[in-house]
Amino acid sequence: MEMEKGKVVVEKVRGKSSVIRSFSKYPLKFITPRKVGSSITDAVWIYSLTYGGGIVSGDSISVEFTIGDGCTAVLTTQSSTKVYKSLGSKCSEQVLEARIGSGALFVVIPDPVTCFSTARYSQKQVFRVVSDSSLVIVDWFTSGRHESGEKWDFELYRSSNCIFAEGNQPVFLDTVLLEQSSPVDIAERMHEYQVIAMVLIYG
Amino acid sequence: MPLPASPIFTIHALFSKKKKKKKSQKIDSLEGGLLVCFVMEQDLVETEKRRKREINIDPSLQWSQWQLLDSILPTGGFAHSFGLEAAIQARLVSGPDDLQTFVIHLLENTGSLLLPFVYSATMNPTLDNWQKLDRILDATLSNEVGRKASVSQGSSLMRVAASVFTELPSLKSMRDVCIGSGVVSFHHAPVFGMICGLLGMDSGTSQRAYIFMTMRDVISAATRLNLVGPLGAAVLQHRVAYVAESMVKKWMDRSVEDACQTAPLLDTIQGCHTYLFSRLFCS
Repeated sequence: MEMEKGKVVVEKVRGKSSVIRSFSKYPLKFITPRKVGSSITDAVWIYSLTYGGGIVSGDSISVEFTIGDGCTAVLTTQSSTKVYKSLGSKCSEQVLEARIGSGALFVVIPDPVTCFSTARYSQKQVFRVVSDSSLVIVDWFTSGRHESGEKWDFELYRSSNCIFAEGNQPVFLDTVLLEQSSPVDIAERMHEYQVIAMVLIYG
Repeated sequence: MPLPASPIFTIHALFSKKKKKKKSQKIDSLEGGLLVCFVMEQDLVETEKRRKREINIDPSLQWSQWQLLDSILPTGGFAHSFGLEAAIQARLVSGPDDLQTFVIHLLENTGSLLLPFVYSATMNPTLDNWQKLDRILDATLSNEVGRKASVSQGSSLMRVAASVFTELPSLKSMRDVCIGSGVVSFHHAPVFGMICGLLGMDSGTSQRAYIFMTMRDVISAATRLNLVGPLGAAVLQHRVAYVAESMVKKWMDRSVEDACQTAPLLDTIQGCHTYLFSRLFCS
């Protein structure tokens, strides 16, 4: 299935980090509001939204980010990423690939991913950095709509975060896979915890 | 070959059944007895088949295999609890039932994360592949406690294997090349896989052996942490072996790109090991 690609390029324009290219295709949308952070700090904020407020079974979203030298860009979401139930065992996926330039900082701080009952979701985030790039990445997910009683009730959740330095050298590789078909179900593995978060600080 | 007692009983019972066929009497106990004999006979047939298969393995390889898997091999594995000590102090594990669950989660996580490295190293036990696998595993083990444990066990294993298996001079030469350079961290899984590959073990055996060693070491740590006694530990180990085999079958022969964690909570808890006020183990 053709992946819906989105693309964002951030470069310095008149000394300030600016989005010089922003392209997105349904169901993805980017919003770049002007007045988010403090006016003294040079940072551009990019919000990623999905039409319908969530990811529907079988959706495939792929985005490419290029953060130019010396820029600072923040990628976040409007609200938690909801993954709806899977129809016919289809898996939804999101792929983010980012290239961060010299002296640049890319901050990825989305709201957590919440998979509904029987959902199947896979995400992959690849960051290609140079020796003096910096990254702050938060990757987190909840047990589901636990107020409705859905606790670790999804079928599949996979999240992969990779950082590669020049020459494709692996710096950090992490993949979490939670699948309901194991001999031990997900809820048992998580004990009483409802959220898992990973924070990566690099540079 | 010593004859077990049961076949004699089997023949006798079958003979008796023929006589009583006309009378529909109390054949229940006889049928029950026959069933037991049938089952025992099946067991014997299976054991005989297994025995004939094993004869085909090179005997000198068996001696090396057993020595490699023996806990007496001085690789320092006894100093690591695989996060069990931290789990006890975090109240995640408080008794033998929790222990069994913990062991199963640990074996699954080991299978999903580390078996690909053992597999690749056994299939291709060369210096280049070893260095590549080591680098990838170093980037994958972000949990500092787990990373240090892997490096310490791997370096000990490499040192011991280079001295013990003198019929494999490449082990010593590879070790000498890498030891000062800092290029290789000597992570445990690739080193283990590579030694198995060089010894001539097949990848199925080496992966099964890796899971076995993890199970052996964590249960041994449990006895020292007073969670279970030595006999209880042995009973638990045999009980979990069935689950361990299904883990091996599920996670074996995968590529390193697919290595993943299936028990993130365990990984987090193990990372807390350094914060423990009092501790018996290194990890």
